[in-house]
Amino acid sequence: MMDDMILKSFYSKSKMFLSAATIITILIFLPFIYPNLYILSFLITIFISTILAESFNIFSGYSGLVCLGYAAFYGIGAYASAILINSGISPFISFIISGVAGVALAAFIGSITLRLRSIYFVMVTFSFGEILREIFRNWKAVGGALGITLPPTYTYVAVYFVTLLTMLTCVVVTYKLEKSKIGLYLVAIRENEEAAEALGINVFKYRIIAFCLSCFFPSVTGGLYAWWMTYIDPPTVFSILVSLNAIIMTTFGGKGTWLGPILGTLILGTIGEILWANFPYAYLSIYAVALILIVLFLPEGLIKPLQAIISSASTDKK
Amino acid sequence: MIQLSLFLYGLITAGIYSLIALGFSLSSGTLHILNIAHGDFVMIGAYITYWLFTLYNVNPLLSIIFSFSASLIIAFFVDKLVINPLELKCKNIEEFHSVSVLVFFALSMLLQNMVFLLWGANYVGYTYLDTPILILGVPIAAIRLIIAIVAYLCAITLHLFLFETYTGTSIRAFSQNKERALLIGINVNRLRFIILGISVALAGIAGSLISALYAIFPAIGGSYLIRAMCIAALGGLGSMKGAIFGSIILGFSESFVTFYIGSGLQDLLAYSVLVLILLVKPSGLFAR
Amino acid sequence: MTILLSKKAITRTQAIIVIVIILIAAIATGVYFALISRPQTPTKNEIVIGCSLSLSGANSAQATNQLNAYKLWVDQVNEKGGLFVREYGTRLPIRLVVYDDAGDATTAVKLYEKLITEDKVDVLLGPYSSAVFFAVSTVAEKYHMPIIGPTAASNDIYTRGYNYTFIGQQTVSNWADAVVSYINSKSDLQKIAIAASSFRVAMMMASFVKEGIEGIDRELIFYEEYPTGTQDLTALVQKMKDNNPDAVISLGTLADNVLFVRTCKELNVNPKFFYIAVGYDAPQLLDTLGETAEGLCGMITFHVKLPYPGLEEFVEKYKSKYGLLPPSECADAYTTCQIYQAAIESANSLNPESIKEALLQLDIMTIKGRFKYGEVNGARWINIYQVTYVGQVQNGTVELIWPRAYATSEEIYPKPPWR
Repeated sequence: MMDDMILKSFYSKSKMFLSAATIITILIFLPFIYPNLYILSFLITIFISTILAESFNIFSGYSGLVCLGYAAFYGIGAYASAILINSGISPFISFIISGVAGVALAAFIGSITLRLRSIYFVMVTFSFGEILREIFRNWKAVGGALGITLPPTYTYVAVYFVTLLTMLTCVVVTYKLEKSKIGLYLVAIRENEEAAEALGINVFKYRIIAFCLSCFFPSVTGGLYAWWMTYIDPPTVFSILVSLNAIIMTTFGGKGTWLGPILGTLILGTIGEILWANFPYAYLSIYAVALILIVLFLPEGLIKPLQAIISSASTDKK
Repeated sequence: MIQLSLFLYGLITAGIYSLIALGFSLSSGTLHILNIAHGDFVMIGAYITYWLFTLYNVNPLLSIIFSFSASLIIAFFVDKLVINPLELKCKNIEEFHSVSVLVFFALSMLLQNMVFLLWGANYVGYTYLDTPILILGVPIAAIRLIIAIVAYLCAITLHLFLFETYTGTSIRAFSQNKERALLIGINVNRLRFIILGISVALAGIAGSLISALYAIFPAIGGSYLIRAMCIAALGGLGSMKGAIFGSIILGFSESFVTFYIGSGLQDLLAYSVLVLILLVKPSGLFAR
Repeated sequence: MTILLSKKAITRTQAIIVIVIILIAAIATGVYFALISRPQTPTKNEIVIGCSLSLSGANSAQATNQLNAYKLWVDQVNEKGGLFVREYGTRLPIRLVVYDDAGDATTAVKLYEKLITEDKVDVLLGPYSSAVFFAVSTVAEKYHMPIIGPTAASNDIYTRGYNYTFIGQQTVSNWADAVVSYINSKSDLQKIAIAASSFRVAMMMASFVKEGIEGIDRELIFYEEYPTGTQDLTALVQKMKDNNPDAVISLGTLADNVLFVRTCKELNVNPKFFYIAVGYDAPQLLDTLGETAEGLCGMITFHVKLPYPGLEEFVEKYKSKYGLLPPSECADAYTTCQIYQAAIESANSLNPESIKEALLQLDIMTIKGRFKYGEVNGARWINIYQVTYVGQVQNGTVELIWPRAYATSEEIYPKPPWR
């Protein structure tokens, strides 16, 4: 029995790497084989959504608390990068610095809010996003309501690859986290907080680690957004939609798994584009109804039924 | 006499806010759901009144009945078709939370889009009873006074409902301890619909009142939702007294801060207060 | 034995995972290729004009109005067989390609890429809002394709040193100049109050007006900003009232202005001059405010009674086709089309460089007045002959009162008290 399971995991790993490698190779060579900038822009937006969804998953999926404050980190990242790039610093370095700034902010916010119960945590994280937006809106030195413009130093291919790289890093980090000790502890905390504490797991410490990790990528992505769009202003980058879209994609795909958010983003992103292309005015209603129906039938996301199919298929063969 | 006029205006604003916040506090504190479509019920109420007024000349105060009913009907469908099945399906409260955020976000999208399809995205508005009346030497538009009176009347009615009727008492029992309420034989399903219904009906009434004062458009829900959240958290989720108190605090602070410091920092102040309360005493000022 | 059996079982289930993942990726890409690949006609038999507008979302009504104006122009031109293109020595009909960007910058950027690379448009029209136009104009600049922004009035779009970005209406600084020059003409307007909401264009205009007022040596006794969408402005108005302004200038969205005006009425603020921008020329203003709007002045960029050639005809055509008077965004849209018409017909060829050169050589009369592109105060390319007007509501209609040369009616000054 044990042998079977070990072998099973070995083979499943190799098959998984194979399929992942295929897809990644396609993605890497796509700009050269078919340099259609429309498709590239579409993929870039998909990558960005995936990063946000996966980041949301890193924290909420494994620790159970819902954070509505990703806008804060996305926005901070955008502003930090905008200011740094405008001062002449290379975009790539700016992104890393933005990421670090995001983590610092996350450490600060996390340390004061992570002891709260779930519904209060949601409200307080949401408020931080709004507070930052108001601060930046009133802060004339960084543009205030008028925002910041950047010089157009980007090329599509560069944006594509940087976003792709960030997304892959994010996914790999999530995957490693899931299989690691920290991941295990987080799942234990999520399933039963009191029991985990009784076992000697420092709930607070692991939550903070997960939180800071989950806020790194959105900050970097905010920087990417600023570089690509050449214009940012407070209402756009500190928008609640950043967090809400992440929640939708992740919940749909399946929280607590590394594959869930990717599937969720891909499928919902596709559905969204098709609906929007064909029903320009009413698509939001249709999308909303579709969302509600999907949630009703699959409240845990797509990944659980998928896993059920796979595991039942494999046990049958004995 | 500036202070007096600021005081009176603060009181009126507080009245409107309290209607919206009471509903939100009720649904979030008792049912433990985060109804992020709450502000959109305000918007629905506003549009219904606008429509009835401009097309059929229905007195805005009369059309409160229609917005009240419309909200109840929507709440009925949402509860029976969505919340009920979800509550049964979800394994734990966190999962239910994240899923309910999603569901209410979808509802918000749906309501806004429907209104957009029917009336377009442009601002609409009408004028009704805006002649100023002098109260203690301060000029206040007649409609504002009426709004304040109606708002406080509703709050009193709600209080009477919760404390003097059987259903109201069961709601309070339910909010204190759900399992025990079930044990004494309270019909939890029916109660859930009633709570949600009242909560959004109050929002609808607030919307009707607001439509006479401001220009409305499909996206107005957001700012009301935020204020409702701040007030409800301030007062303590589920506490009616807290919601009223919170509305008064917010209403006054907006008036006075705007006058003495400047209006740019209004929203910042509201959120900062919220964060402070949540960090220091998350259960709010009137925690039960 | 057991190992062999398990090996088969694993392979099958893992194969399922692989297939599912690849299928999803394939379907996604397949659908997109299907949606976007349309056969491109190699021969040139039409002029393609492209844009994206926020047809869904907050500004959809204005965007739809704009679209209506575009359609009107396209029909008008195609009735005559199209525009005369020198390069081909014949008239070519126009095909309009319009996408919905829902007011989102990333979507718009995607769509403009599509317009340029796939739909292979000849000229670009700008999207609806200034915020979106920032990102989109960068795309146009990269491809060296001229783009005219019919409604993008923010000065900072044009001070980036771009060569292919053209404006289709008056700049925000020009809006400010109009009201400042009006105030300058009235020597008894000494104490000025400005209230601006955080709406981007309003804030920009506020700073220009402030500069202007200080430049003509009038006293700015009140200058405050408030978050757009604020519910209660009584404290703000009270503060302003205490300073006893001669002139009140309220800048913000239509909703902000409605609230501001109502609050002023409530608190009995009766300055000699009351001016609002933006949204003054929208029909909802009069519907919403009713009698309260009497005597109210505001910013006008287009008025149906202006004496420009083709304007009357345009208004008639629009009214008969769509049942209402054209709002200002329609006029902006139509003017942009007129500009492109003139440029295409005078250009040596349809390639973007020639059209850009043609645009820079133009000096024409449009329904919004004289248009010639140039650089003013570091902003390019804007209309060096731009004029903004000041209007006043008299007996339920908006009349033009400033500049005097264009006035349609005698001004009522000072503003009568609220009704």
